[in-house]
Amino acid sequence: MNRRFNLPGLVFLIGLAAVWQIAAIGAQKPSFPSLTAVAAALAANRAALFAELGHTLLRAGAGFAIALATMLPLGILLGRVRPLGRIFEPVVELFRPLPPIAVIPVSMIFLGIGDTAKIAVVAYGASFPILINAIDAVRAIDPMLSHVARSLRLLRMERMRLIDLPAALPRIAAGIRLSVAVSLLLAVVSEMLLSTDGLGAFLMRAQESFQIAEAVATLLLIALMALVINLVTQAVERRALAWHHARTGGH
Amino acid sequence: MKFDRITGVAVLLLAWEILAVSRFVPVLYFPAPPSVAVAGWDLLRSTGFVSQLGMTCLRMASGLAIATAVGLAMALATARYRMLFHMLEPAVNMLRVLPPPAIVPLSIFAFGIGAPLFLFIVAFAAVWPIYINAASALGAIEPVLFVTGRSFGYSSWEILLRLRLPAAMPEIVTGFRLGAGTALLATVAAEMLAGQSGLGFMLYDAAFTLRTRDMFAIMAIIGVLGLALNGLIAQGSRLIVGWHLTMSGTGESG
Repeated sequence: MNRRFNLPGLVFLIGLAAVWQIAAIGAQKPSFPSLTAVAAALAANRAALFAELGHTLLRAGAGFAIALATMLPLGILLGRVRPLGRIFEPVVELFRPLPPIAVIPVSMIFLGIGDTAKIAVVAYGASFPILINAIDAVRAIDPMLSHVARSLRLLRMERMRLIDLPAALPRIAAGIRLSVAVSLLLAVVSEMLLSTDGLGAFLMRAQESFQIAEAVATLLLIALMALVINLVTQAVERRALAWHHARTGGH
Repeated sequence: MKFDRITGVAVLLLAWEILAVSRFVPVLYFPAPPSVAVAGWDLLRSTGFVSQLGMTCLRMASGLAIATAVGLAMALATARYRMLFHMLEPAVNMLRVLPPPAIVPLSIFAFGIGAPLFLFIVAFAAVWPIYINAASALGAIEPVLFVTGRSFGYSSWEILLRLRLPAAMPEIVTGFRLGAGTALLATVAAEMLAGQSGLGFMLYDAAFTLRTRDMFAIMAIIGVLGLALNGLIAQGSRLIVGWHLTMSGTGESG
């Protein structure tokens, strides 16, 4: 364990849970379920919820993978080949201020309400953080590395793959972290709006049938899922960038 | 240089136009740019639309204002009492990863569909980036500031408000910028999910009734809103932290 155990934090969480439980029992209202009722709902629906969790994760993962596979090379290209960057960066800037959620209706019209529509929305939204960070990261590379590449007579493609990608990776990682969060958000929201299945759809159904405890349970599961994925992303990042931290003497 | 900047956008519009005119995609789904522009112009001139636009702006601005006040107050309190920071940390980590739109269904039960609902959702969405950036900036302060403050005879609160707060301002502004983006997203999402008014609702309504020209026009207007928000914040942050940039020698980039 390299991190200190946070006792006050734990105490606060337990206190919060206790206040919730007592207040809910005191209120005796169906619209304010107690923690135990939520836990019971979670247990009762665990099979369904985990199936929905799988759907959501699959969509978020597929969209993110598409974004990563296309935007990482594109970002390096636009960052490295300046004329291309100058031409296409305004296009990126044109779409950036639009919240990705606003693209869901367009996706619905062209692709329906199935998996493709949702994965497309996730891929669209997840693209921006990776693309923008990749462009900036490549531009910020130490010019010395480019001189080395030139004196080694590397071809343009080789230079982008062997020098630009690793050198830019620490900065790109920040974009990837953002992109993972956006993927989860868009997977859930597209399921809420284009309901078929997944945690977002489950949440909407629970709301429409006034099953508040189920809705709170779904929300808790979404938060847990996001927390776990954040931790996994951080762990992957630490391992992938271990060489970088070792070299720069960082922690 | 100037030419470069419009080339990409021009190519995009041209490709869109060609695709639309070729009828490769049904024109109902994919209207050509000029017809979208006409639809947007008609929307902007219609009386109802401006009030819808104003509604969205008002929801976003008021939610963002609350988020800023709450986030800054929390950050100042946790910077002054470190114990509080550790206490809140796990709870904050859990709440900030929640996709804001996911709290819409439950918030409807708590608030009904009205102004408080939007206020809560937008503020909930925007408060985390503001708090987290401010708290980390206030927490990471150079020891020399402390020593200087002590030698002036400042109290801990004075050190916090007169030394640490100004020093943390650039990062606080960054947090505010992130929070503003989240606020716009949350406003549109809440209007799509729970709305009977506002741009998000109109966008969703236009899509469902297959008024695609209006749909693309509303998207463009939302995009312009985001752009205007960015511009406004960039101007404002130059006023607030301009002194910082000139002092740290990075001012020429502004």
